[in-house]
Amino acid sequence: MPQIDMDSLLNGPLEGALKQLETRRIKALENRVLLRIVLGIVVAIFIIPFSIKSFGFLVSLFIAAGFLLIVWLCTSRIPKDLLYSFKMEVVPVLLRTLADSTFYEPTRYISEAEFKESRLYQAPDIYDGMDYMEGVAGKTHFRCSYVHAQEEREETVTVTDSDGNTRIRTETHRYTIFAGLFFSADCNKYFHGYTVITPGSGSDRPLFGGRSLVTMENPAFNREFAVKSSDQVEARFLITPAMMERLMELKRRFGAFRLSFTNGHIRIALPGWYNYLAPDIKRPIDRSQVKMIYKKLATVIGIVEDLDLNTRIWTKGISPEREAINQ
Amino acid sequence: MIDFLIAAAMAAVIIWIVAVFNSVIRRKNMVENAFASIDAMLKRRYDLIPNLIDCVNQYMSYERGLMERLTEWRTEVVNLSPGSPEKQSLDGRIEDGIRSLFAVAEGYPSLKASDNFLQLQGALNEVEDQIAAARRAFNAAVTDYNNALQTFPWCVAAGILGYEEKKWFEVGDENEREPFSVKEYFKTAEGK
Repeated sequence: MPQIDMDSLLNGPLEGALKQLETRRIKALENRVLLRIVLGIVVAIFIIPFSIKSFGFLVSLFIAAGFLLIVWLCTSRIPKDLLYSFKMEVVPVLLRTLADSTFYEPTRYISEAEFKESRLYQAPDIYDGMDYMEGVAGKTHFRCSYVHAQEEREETVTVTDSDGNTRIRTETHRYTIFAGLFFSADCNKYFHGYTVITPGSGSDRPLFGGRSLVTMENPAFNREFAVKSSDQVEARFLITPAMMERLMELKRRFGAFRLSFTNGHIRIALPGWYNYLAPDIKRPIDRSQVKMIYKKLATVIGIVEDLDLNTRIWTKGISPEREAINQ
Repeated sequence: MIDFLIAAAMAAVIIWIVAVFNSVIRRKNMVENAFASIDAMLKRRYDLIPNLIDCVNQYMSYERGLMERLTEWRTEVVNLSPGSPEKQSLDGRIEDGIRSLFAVAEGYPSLKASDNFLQLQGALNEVEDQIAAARRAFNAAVTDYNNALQTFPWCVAAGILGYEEKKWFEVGDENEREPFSVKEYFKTAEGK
């Protein structure tokens, strides 16, 4: 993994970019204040008098407050163009210090096919994401992105109109299956089947069936995770006693997560992590913000080391992407 | 109506008994299946030994004794019946022999740089991990089976079927519990 001094990075390639971004941030904040004042005046002049006539004073106050709240929330977000510029100018530079052969694109995300292949969640109906990155950390190729997978469910609702007539209506609702960071890395061991690790005890298995459940030797691990696999021996080949300890440590650091071994890859789904590479617009875009984002980025890429994926003493050897760099 | 209820209750009891018997039989089969996987992995280890000997032969002419012993053990072990104490003991010696060979290889830089040797080392590391995984799977299956044999109602079914408790896989030689020491190996070799 390339080792670059953070200070030389901030005084070198990032210095000019950060100054420009900070100027744009100040401009964006000024525009935001102006927009809020204009919209406040619009509310005072048009909406309040109109709603007082129609609904009375008290209701109109609520309408005005609601309107102002929406305006406040909409203008609190970092402008899209500033966010895109920050991500394109800062994140790739940071990423290059943590891995080789890096690629970053804020608008792209892990493919739906790979999400399905992971067997971590059911197939989604609606799927999108952001912050796609890939690279080679040590000997291991990885890729990750934020992913939002949703399912659509049709639900029947009984509606009663003002005349007292009831009718049944079908409504489509969206439910989140998974929203968070999806990390995929080349596994250091060959395997053929699938093994999925989910949070929760594996002891709640049914009396009959549940043959794909794997009971591990570590009781502490069994209390925290349930393992399902197509092959009992392969599951133990992949989840060694040392790996169990690493997974428990990972849970202590990241909270509950799901992990799977499918099609030569290890995939991890970490809930949360929405827009984790975005700066805080309320604070100056400076060294401290960049250092904070660097820390998050290092934590994500550090999963490769956390799971000891760079130990390549088996037949699989190093990732083909790493071999290509070496050549 | 009462007749129907009695018939339904009897059918439910019969289904339950069949399920209990099937569950015990399934557990026993899982133990046998897990045992067979250990054997399959051990066979892969035996298959790799001749290749390993061929590969190191040209570099390690001073380690003939170790290579000859490994070849001899390998020929002997394939003729022994799976699970026999002799086979377990010989498997332990083969494991030690392979570890010794890799330890000795540390002193041969040209061998360590050989692609063929590195590939074989990777394959053997993989096989060793797979053997360990298969043994762990076997122990898990035995635990599940023994638990069933000690608890109601499975113990009744097991008693009728004449099933007995099975032993876990355990490290045969106390020395095998100790981590392998290259230093100790060389001391012993010098002494001989």
